[in-house]
Amino acid sequence: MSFIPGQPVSAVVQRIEIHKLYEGDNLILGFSIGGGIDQDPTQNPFSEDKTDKGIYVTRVSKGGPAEVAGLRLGDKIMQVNGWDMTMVTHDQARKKLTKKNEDVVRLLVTRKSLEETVRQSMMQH
Amino acid sequence: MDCKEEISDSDSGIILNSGPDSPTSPVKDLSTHTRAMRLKQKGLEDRLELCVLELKKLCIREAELTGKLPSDYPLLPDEKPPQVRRRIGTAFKLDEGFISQDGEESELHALEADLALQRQIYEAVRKLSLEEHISKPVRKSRLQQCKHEEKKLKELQDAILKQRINHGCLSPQTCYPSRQRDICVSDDSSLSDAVALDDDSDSAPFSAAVLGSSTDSGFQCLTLLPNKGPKQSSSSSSLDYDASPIQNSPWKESSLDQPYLKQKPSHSACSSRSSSSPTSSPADTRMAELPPAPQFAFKSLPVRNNQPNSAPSTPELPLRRQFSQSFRLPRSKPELTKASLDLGRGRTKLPRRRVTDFALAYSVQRLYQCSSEDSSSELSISSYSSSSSRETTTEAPKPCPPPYGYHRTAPNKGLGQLNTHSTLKNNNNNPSHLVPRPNQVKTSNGTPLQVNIGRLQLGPNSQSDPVHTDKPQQVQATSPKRMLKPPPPYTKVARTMSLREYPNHPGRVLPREVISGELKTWHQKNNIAISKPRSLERQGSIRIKRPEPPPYYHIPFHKQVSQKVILQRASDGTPLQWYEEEDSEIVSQV
Repeated sequence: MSFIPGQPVSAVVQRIEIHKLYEGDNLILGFSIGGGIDQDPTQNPFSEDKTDKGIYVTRVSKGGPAEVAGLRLGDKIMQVNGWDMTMVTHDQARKKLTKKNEDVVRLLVTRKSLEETVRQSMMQH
Repeated sequence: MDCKEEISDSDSGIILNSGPDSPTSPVKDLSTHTRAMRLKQKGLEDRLELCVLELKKLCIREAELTGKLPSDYPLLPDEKPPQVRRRIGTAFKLDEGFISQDGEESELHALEADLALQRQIYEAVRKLSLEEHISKPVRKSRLQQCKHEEKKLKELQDAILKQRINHGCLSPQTCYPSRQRDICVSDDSSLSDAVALDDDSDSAPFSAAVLGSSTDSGFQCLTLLPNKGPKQSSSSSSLDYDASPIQNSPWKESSLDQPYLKQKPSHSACSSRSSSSPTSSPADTRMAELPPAPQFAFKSLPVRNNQPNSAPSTPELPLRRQFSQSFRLPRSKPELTKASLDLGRGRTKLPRRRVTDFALAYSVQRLYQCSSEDSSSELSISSYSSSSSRETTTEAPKPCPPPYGYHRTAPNKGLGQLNTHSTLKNNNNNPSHLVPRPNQVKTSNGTPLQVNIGRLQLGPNSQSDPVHTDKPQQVQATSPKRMLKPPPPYTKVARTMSLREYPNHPGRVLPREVISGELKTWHQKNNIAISKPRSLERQGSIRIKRPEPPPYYHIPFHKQVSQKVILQRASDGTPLQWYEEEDSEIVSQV
């Protein structure tokens, strides 16, 4: 998931619609994120390209809304409800995901396996 | 190796077995053979040893980087694995552009090179200070070092700013493309914030100019950013910017199951650890439910801990001091400075140009406190023109069109200087526009001129009454239709010919000698100023119409007020667009 500076980022993405769950007073999503342009990308255990400062899914709670919706550990989040996540700070990303008045977040996520799947299916044809 | 052992075994076997009766020739053959083998073995063993040593070194380095010793560390039978301390990498590379000098403006280059170096040093020291597992005294000393380096960094930035103000930024573009090339990712983010601010302030011409001017520097994220939501841009603009890479926290992981709690920014990267304890309590509750992940640093280090390092924050201080000397500042000053701090922080990527603009903008803010309610827009440096126009809209109660209106038109038509002219006409009975004119050019020269402006603040600023109450003779004489002095950036559009237009204004109270005296100084300064604010041209918003000030103390004071035909009016009757016969121009008030 490396990018070429100056070129538009292209990736095979999966649309994931997470319906937030009410837990007491909070709306929970059931996953954690890491990364951001204000973070040190070399410590990201999920990114292939260690200069990638994108937002990655670092934990998916079992049976939570995220897992149910199809989010997987190590996914890179590209968009949240249309907002870009490839060039945001950690807090910004968190903000976009944890809006109180939003019940549903629609993410575009990408992972290596997606690209491989697509490539394989393309090769078969 | 087995075969070697076998050979040696057999070798020793042969030797052992050899007796006086054994044939000599086979022994000889074997001994040469074994010698060769032994030599080979020795060579291989040496190589092996070297490789093992190298592996040990690499393992230790890896352990320093990752924090744990890798499993294939070669151990002798009785050796125990070494204790490895995780080291913080502080090596850096300085961009080539700083080391070589161009010749022209070498002083500035030297300062910039120093600044780049100091930034790297500061970054390294900061990383060191953030290292975990260090003892308390070591940590203390590192924090102190960090603060020391930070101070040095600020001093360098101040010095560079002063240099720039003194010499003007002749070629800001040539200077910072080299700087931008080194770490693209972080540069993108800070530029994106700058562009976002342009978007925020809705000055399309200016942002286009910014984009255009910076494309040659290879800013990549510009391609992505304009497509994204404006709100996101504005939120990103409110976060910290830094010329150095935005890596002020180790990789943070946060659970999304907690509602978003805005982190309180600490005011120093080095003190973020000490301050993180109070701020970490909300984060701790979040972190607690996360599985232990030793490779992450779960510190809720605030994001905004590089604010003090951003370049634009420094220019405010000298200017502010200047202004506090020369004017009585209206009450809105605190909010202005705060807003300027917030907005000024966004301006790191185009430091030179922005700093100059900011100096000018700032001086304008101080001078024309009239509509200071809209302080944040006033201080939007990047879109100085539109911001000042916005400032003027808050003056709605006053029927006069604020002179900042011409900012808007200037980008489009280059009529800036004439707009002030027109606004002057709008307030026909405005007295001493004559003398404020020199102020325009003066302010563009930066801080030394501010004092002069203070002295020359004559009549037409009803909004700046708090500033002018010490000059009653001018203030009272002016009509209610006051106008603001035109902001400095357009002063180099130095159409300071209000004298021609309003030569026989009854309200003009200042004696001619005073005016002439001031004008002389102004002329002198203007000669310096002419060559200077070229950087502003890049914004595409100003066209120098008259670099030379008209010697208007020679202009006869009996010229008619020029006519203007009003083409559009606002709802309250404020002329929005008018056609000036004298100059054959259409002026729009925004």
